[in-house]
Amino acid sequence: MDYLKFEFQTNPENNEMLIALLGELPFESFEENDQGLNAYIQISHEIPEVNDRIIELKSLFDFSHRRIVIKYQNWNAVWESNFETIVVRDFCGIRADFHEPLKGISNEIIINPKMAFGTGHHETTWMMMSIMESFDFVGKDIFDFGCGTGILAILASQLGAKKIDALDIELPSYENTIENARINNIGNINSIHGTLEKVDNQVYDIILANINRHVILDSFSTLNKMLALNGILLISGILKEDEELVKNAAESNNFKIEKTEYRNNWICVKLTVNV
Amino acid sequence: MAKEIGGFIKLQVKGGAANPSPPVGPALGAKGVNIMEFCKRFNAKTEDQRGKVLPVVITVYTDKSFDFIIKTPPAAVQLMEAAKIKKGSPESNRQKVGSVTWDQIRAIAEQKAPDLNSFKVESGMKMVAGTARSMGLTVKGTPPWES
Repeated sequence: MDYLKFEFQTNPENNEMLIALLGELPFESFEENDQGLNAYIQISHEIPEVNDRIIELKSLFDFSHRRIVIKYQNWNAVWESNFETIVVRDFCGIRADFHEPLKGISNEIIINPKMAFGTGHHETTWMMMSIMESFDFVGKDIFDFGCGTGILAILASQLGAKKIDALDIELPSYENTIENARINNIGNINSIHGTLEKVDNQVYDIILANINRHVILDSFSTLNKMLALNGILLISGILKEDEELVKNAAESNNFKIEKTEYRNNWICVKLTVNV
Repeated sequence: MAKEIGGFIKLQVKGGAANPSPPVGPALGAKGVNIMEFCKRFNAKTEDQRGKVLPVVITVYTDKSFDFIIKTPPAAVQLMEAAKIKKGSPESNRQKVGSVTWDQIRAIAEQKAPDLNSFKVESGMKMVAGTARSMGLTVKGTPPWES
């Protein structure tokens, strides 16, 4: 995804006010410096109001500005080029293609992340994989909601799942899931780019959702309808401080809390549907 | 033993909106930090302040690990939030930016008090009101010390 950088040259005393006023528009982030500030926006979000607002601001503040296109690239390449392998007991291990094969591991997964989330290093991915050891995936239909690198979909496939739909709103994740499935010689993952509406008429035996609080809260009622009888919803991407909020929302959407795992400040919760 | 600090990165990012693109991507990526991990943590930590511009100071250690602190939004950002509460009135539709009340100014000044030296509520309020006017916001009513 290409970005735009708007460079504003102004007295830094104006920075705070310019940031607040530009923040009303789809600018996502700002960086201050001695000559003023830089404001960043996705190129596809550059609505006409952006230019209108900048013209309007010139009547309030003294500044000059220029608009610079920043082409998409893998900004995470340095970390990805030398990350360390990671294991979840002897159950599974993750490495990149530049590592030697792992020894003494039941399920080895190769991930070349390319700016997608999910290498097993993060607590949430680690817990999801750890709990997945106790599930029966054989012959099951799986949905990986917010698939990132596709790591959980790949593990589900290795554990015997029949078919996995892996969905992500981010294009790099959609592409990376296809790539990682191929590297791991997996043919039953269907990578889908988009939002939950793309699959909300489907029914799954197990839904894996390592995303974030607001997406999970917004999706509970839809996910409930997408689960088969005796199905399992496994959620993570949630901080411990949000545990009560998320569990209350789960219960009011007719889910039953089966199990909670903790790792540092993060939680992972196994849910089933009340019959 | 305390970890060795490699550097600090100061940015302002909307709550819940960190992604591996500029400026987060290049700033952290160049230091070898796993950007995806930062985004997951930052977005989870700021769920309650989605869409609000938040100053964040990231400490990067020489082992490529990191920590970050999210600071209180600047007075200007809080003023915009306060002005939004009044939106929907016929008057605000004609105004380009909006207006704030002295009660809102007081609340922001009190919240910013720890950042201001030799703080008195009245002088803090005057500073925040000055920022409001510079931004094109109208401060409605009479200052409490004049009424």
